[in-house]
Amino acid sequence: VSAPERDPSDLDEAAAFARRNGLVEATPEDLRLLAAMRERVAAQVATIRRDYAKADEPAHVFQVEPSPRPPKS
Amino acid sequence: VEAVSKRADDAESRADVPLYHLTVAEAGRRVARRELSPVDLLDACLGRIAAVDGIVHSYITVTVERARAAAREAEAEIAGGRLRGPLHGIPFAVKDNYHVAGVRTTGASRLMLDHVADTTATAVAQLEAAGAILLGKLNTWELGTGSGMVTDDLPFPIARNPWDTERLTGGSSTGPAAAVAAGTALFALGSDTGGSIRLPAAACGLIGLKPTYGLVSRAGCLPNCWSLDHNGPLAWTIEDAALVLSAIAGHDGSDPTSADAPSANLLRDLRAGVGGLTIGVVRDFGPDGEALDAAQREAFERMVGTLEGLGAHLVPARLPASLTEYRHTARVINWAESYSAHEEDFLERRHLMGASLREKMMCGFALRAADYLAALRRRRILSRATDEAISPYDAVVLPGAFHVAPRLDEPDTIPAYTIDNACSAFNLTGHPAICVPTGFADGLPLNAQVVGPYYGEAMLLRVAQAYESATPWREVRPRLGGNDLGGKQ
Repeated sequence: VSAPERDPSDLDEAAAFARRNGLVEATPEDLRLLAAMRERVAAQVATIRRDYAKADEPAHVFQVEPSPRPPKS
Repeated sequence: VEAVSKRADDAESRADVPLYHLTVAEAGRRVARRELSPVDLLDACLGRIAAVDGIVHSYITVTVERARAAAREAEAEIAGGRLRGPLHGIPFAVKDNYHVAGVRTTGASRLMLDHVADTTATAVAQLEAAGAILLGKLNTWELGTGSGMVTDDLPFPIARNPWDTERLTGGSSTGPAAAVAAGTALFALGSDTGGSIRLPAAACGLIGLKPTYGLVSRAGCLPNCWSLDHNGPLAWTIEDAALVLSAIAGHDGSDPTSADAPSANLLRDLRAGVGGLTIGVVRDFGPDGEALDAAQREAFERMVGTLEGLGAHLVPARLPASLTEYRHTARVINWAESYSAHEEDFLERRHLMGASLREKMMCGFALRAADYLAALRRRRILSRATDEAISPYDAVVLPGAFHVAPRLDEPDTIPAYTIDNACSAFNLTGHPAICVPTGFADGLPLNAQVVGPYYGEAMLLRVAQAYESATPWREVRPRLGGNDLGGKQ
């Protein structure tokens, strides 16, 4: 299974991202996959942030992010 | 459906059922009465493995000598009047992401082919303490995870669905589902991060139980996503699942997320029926629901009618968000936590990973910390809202997998099996969920889910047992080729 071909500019961005984040000796296949997955991640994260915004939580109120549910005591 | 019902009516008597197709409960009763030797039962399963595992590929490692020693010990103990309980002498197997000291844990990965564990997972230790006999380690998607894409690039053959060996078992607990359906183990343990117990159970016509988050210890297992991972059983019947969960539920100080919850008796009211219970019915999934197969929808409606006929009060219920919303939130958490667990391997040895795992790792690599935390915030809100939606009911029923098991030679259809379902919502929120068979379409199993409030496993099992007792789906086993003797179709 090969990642789809990408524009050269996408691959340059992916290469820079890989270098900044410790992905050494990235192959062209690695970079094609990274470019594709960065798009996928961005799309998913955008939907989460949009959905979270609906809750309109005040940013200045401290919230603890728990495990799915607290253990019973 | 009518044909299956007729076959069930024509089913042979229990005395004719091969030993490897006994339920856990029935085998346990025979062992307790000393009508069945644990050694003979083990031999039946080993014979079954020899006969059909070359077709279904449920096992990665069979621990023959270890199992024989345990079976002989069980036989001697029982002969001496020291019966440990209903699982004493019962053969089982675990997904190859549970460690067993002295046995290799591969996770079906080239990264771990030579890894021999020096610890035993708490759940395995609990089952062995109850007298169950470990048969071996079962097939899985790589490291119990992946992107949903199935590629034949792992060091072991892909597990095959015993109902149609050209089809997917579901994943990631591929081997556990294939084993229980084929009779190469009487029950199995799997792990469920986004449906990985329930989707294989659905594809292979089994009970798949994902307990409340924290109810069953994950200590001694390969990590996937610490806040989404759940361990639980795959079994042929609800009673079997209840027996196994009874043995593995409970607080474990070795797992920091283990719930310090009092143990519920899962068997006491198992057959109390559903008369007078209020059961929510989730039918409306908005645009996501369009993917639900007509056969699955019809079988689900028959299930609702059956429960109503048994005296339950069925009322419409809704989840507070779309399945897509749950899935996207769970996926981002999954990418981040899984990447964190496997970062070193990804950065240094990703060439050894299969394509599916490598793709998932790349998503985790591309994610930012703030994105992960946004997903955790979204989960907090979704979990609270879901609990408020579920809590008014004794249980809630809804579809599980939206499709029947896809063909392995049609890889483009496989991701849809993993995506189009109502399973991952309850990994995100931590609510308990049971996948139950609801019939057949063209010889392939259909399914639905019973979910409920946190720690509501006893009630969910009771509802599922009432439905199971009223339907013939447990009377039919898959027929395998070769020298198979177990099918009744």
